[in-house]
Amino acid sequence: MTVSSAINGTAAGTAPADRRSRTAAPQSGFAPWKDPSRTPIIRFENVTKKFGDFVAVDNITLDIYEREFFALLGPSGCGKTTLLRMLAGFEKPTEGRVIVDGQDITDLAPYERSNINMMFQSYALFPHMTVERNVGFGLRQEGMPAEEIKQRVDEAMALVELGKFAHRKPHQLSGGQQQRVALARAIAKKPRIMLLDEPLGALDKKLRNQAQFELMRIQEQTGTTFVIVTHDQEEAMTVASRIAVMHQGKLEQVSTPGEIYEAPKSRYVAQFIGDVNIMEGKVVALPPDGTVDITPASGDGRIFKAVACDGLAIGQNVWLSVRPEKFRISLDEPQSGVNVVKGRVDDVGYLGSISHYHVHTEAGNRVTALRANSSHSVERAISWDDTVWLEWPVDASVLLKT
Amino acid sequence: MRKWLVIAIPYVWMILFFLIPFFIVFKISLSESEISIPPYTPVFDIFEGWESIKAKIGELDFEKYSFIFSDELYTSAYLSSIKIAAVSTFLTLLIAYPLAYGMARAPREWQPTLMMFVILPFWTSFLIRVYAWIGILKNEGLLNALLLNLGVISEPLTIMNTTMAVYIGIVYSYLPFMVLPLYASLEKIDGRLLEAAEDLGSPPWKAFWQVTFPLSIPGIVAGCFLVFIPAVGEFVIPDLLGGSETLMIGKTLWSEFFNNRDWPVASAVAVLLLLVLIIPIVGFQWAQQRAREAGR
Amino acid sequence: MNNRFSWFNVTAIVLGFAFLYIPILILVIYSFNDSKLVTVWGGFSTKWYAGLIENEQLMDAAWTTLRVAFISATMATVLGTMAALVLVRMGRFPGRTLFSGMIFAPLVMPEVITGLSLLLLFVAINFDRGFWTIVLAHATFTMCFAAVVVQARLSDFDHRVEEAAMDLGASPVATFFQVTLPIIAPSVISAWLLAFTLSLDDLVIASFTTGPSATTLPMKIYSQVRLGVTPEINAISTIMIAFVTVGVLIASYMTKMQTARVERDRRAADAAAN
Repeated sequence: MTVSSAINGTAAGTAPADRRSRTAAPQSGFAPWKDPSRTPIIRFENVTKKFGDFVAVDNITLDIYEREFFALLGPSGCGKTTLLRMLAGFEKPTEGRVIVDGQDITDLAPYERSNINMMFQSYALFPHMTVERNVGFGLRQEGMPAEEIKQRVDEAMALVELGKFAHRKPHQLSGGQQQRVALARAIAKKPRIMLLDEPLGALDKKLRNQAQFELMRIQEQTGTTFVIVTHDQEEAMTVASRIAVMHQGKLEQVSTPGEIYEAPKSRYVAQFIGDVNIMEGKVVALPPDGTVDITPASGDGRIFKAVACDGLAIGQNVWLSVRPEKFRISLDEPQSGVNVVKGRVDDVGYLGSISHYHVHTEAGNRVTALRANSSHSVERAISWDDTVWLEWPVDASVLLKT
Repeated sequence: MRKWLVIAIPYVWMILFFLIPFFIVFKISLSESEISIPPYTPVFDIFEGWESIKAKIGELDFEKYSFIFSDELYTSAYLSSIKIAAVSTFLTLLIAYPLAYGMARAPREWQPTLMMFVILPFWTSFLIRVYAWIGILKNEGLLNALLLNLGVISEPLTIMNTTMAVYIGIVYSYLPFMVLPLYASLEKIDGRLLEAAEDLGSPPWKAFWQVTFPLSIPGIVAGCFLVFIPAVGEFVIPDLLGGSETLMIGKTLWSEFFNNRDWPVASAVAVLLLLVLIIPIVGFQWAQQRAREAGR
Repeated sequence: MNNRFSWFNVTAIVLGFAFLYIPILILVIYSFNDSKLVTVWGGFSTKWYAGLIENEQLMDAAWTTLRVAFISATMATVLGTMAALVLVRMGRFPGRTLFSGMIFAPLVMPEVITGLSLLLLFVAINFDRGFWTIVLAHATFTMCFAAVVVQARLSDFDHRVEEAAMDLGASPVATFFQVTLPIIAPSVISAWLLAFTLSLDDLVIASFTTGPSATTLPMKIYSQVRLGVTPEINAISTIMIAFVTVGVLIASYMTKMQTARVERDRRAADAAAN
């Protein structure tokens, strides 16, 4: 946590690794997407959305399961918000169907989708109503008796710890409080599916981290299926059970945060999530021990080893990706002789608990490596212009075919 | 379904009370003047059947237009309307610019109050504001009394019932229309731009011409259109302040209609006035469109 | 900031406001003049005001004007709000360009043309001219001003607030009345006041569209003004000016207080959160 906030996402590579162990624990048994007998609560079937000539969402098929905390992640303009708005009913797919609970809701208006509610970007609170009336708005639309509304509103406000602000107007609240009103307003309807459109984008870093854990608590407590749209990869890693990485209207990869980080399927995903060093190369040999020998595309004849994946052929173009923290950086030449690169230190960034090093390799590439500044380290500090060796285990790199 | 109702109600209203009347004006401008009620022929009646209407359409002609073009009274009225409107627009700009500039550069907390005082006269009756000048400008009015007492002049000035009085009236009445867009564009200019210009060696008066003035051009354009277009068709000001010697087309239309009761000629005058104004109106819409797109 | 009162700014503002206000001030002052002559101050008197109340024709005209303005402003506000909704919220539909042209053109259209064209319409459809024709004419030309005022507010408020209402189960009609209308209410009120004032003020369109049965105050004032300056007209003008000034002052004071309160609350909330 301290690491990621200190380096502010630029090399967030280390953070998800340690966070994964924390979030994965309670959900270790929770993987409905692996169970073929489960039916998804949300299903996008070949959904395409065009605005004029612009294809915002391009033939997406996606299943989301009950109780999931599902993140749609991507840069702005990748179609993630459009996908969410089609689920809420604000956009109608140009082609394809949206199915919720086995029912085709493609043509339903937003106000006819009573089991889906949304928490809006920048909250969209009704400025002329008190907090209490904001939270009760959806219940009043159902014509619920006043007594019951009061009870449900109190319940929702207690859930987000907002009770004492009941009679304030939105402009009398801070950003963090407004965010909780927006959450309570959607939760009060007890939807089966909760949509969150960049819910924490307006908060500062510290509040955002706090709010992420609060969202996770509420999601678990209510058992609601959450679908969140975010451009913040750390946020997606923190909260989500699964992440869909989107790029130009298409799904690049749908996996758990751990898989996305450790086993990206494309260079796009590898580069979008955390820092990564990527080297283009060619397959030169496929030894029977399940590894693959690769020579850099620059053609200097060196051989690197990685774990092979399916469908490799000799002579094929591949990309080798290594996360900065997977390198072992040292002043002495390692003995193993496998996956070793010699270089000169260009730049050192000291960030307290870790340092990162920009290394200019003999082959002329720039590589980033991270090292924790453990207190017991007796080695001499690595500094500018030092000659260093970078070494990584065979199973620490990922082979990418696209 | 409801959506179409919301569109249809104002749409039908505007077609009925704005668009169709123009076609009627055009149709009557092609009719003959008559001394009857209504004072023109032919009168269409949809109950008479298609044949009769067709016959009546044949009676329409452009005679009134050739009459207007042959009579110097009308052409000079159009020309002098345009000239008076153009001169007063320029004078309004000269007076409004320093005022808008002063407002935009005044301390922030004062600006809403200053704005309110510019808008306030706009809310008070146009007629009354024009009327207020009669007492000031006439020969035995307050301005002459003041100047005579001060010894600046020895003979009363004749301002009332001259074009000069019309200029004053238009500038006075339309000043808020010029000040508001000017203020809006001047107020938006980032003060740091001027500091940057000065830092780069431009003295304040030069910085004004190189930075402030070019950036205020959208406001100048909008303000000029907002003053010029209605001023061309102005009736009350030339009628009350300009006297008989000032020719303006709005006045001509009024007297054709009310004094001569010649509806076809009044309609033809209106059609031609509209044609004269179409270029500035379209230009204004275009400038507004561009400003909106630039603001995005 | 370089925003301050420099000598240039002060001079420009003082001269500009002097030009705007001195004629009105003179008119007000001379409404209390005992003498009938404009240039001679004959001492303070309120006799012209007393005379007004006895002038039945003038009182009738004033009453007609107020009724016309009230009814036409109400119609114009409803129609103008609908037109603004169409322009801002309805997206593209066939004939949108024509519609926005019809809404914006009357703003700069010379009154003589609007007046003449409406009169000819009423003659063509054989509609009895009088009170109601003025109301219809005023509703038509003021609705365009109302539409512009409401449109400005509608286009700068967050569309997502309406989406949130629909997401929470409110139908489009419920959304409009429970969310949109309360939020744009200040602009709807301004639109009504603007339409009301424009109607009160109008001479030309009313002169064209009226019949023998209805005379409005501006028409009455106009016919007397043509005969020259009289203290009586000064007196009625002063009343109208006072009426409007008080209204505008109250409105702007209320807006100012409102903005200040919102600002203060927001600061307090932020301070409490930190």
